[in-house]
Amino acid sequence: MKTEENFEKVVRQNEQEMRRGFLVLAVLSRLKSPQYGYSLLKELNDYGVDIAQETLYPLLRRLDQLGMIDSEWKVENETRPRKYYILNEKGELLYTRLKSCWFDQIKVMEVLLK
Amino acid sequence: MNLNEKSKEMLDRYIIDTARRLPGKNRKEIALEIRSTILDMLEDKYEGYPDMAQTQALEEILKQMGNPSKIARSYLPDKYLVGPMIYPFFKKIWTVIWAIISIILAVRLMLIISESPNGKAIFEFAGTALNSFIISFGILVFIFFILEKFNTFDEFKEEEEKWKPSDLPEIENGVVKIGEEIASIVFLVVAIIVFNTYLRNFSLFFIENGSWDSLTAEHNNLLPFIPFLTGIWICEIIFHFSTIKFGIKKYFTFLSKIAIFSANSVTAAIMLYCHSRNQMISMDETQSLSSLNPVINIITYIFLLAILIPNIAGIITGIYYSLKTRNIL
Repeated sequence: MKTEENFEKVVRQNEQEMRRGFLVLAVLSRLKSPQYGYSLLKELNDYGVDIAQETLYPLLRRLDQLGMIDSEWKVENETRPRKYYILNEKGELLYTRLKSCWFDQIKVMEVLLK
Repeated sequence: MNLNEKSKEMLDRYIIDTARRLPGKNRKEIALEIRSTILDMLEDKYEGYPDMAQTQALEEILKQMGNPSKIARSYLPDKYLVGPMIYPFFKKIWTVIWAIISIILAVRLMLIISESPNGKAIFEFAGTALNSFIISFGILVFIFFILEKFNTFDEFKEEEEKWKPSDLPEIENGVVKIGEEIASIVFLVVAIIVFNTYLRNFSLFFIENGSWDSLTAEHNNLLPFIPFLTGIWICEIIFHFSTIKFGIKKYFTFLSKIAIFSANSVTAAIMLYCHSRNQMISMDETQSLSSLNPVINIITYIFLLAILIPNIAGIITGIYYSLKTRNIL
């Protein structure tokens, strides 16, 4: 029983690590137009990307600190401040490079997994 | 979306409990972002529900988000010395240690002033004081780091898993506790009555050369200070009443507090100066209290420092919170 539990744990950990690798790319792909955190979260979930808010928000913050995206607070309905994020020049470059890397990896993996 | 009072309070408690576990630099912005997300989630799923359902819905969302320490951890770098789960505990212990060191240092400073009040001794004392704080803080961080590294706080982790919104602590900063304000008013009124009416009848008794001696009002040079103290205390009473009336601590509240603490500090500092020159309690023209009874002399120093130090601390925290309410910090 314990061995089974351990196996499941290892599977989950590996799945998480695999997902983590492409989350940045998934997020960058949706930031060509301005998005606030929750709208982005919903959009990614609608596309089937399994990402929790406690993963997304710190990730956005890190990308912002690295200068890959721009952020701006906007007050809506006079009382609701929301932080909007959008790709900047550097971010677009990063997105292009990661996307090309992703497709290269797919090609390699398709051959490997045949 | 409009929140009802109960939902608003629950959300505030969640945000405050999360924010106190975050690094100070980004605390405000992250807190604002978490609040905005929760409101979006609430709006998205439960818009148009009646009041009761709104609170219930918010409770479910908070439960789904999880323990504030979990949220705070996601904003921290992968490596840290004291984790968000145990940070409030760490803060409490540090407060106790800080208070103990401060008391020991205050006594030491008092002894230095009474024995050899010169610049070199006070300068050396300042170095020792700084060292004491740095070393004790370093040791405490190191202990917590080791304990966290070896998973000593597993029971905290279990608690984190079982967390529910009703576990959220009450709001402390910013919100007025009426009981505390009323207690302060009562205490100040009693102090005004005692100092203005009964003080003249009080005597300080001590043993001198094997027999009891006493210091009565005519030896007590505290009397000229009483009108100033009474004035300050009346201002303080007005301040407590206005705090109860406004219900929340605002920028003006902290400015008033700074003014009151400053007035108290100046009075205590003048009294301390007079005492150091043997003018506070005088026996007669040729004798001073320090030569007659060193114990009473030292007790007077402790008493005056016990007034001065918390008031100086009050000025510093007052400045801090007033800058915070103006978004400068």
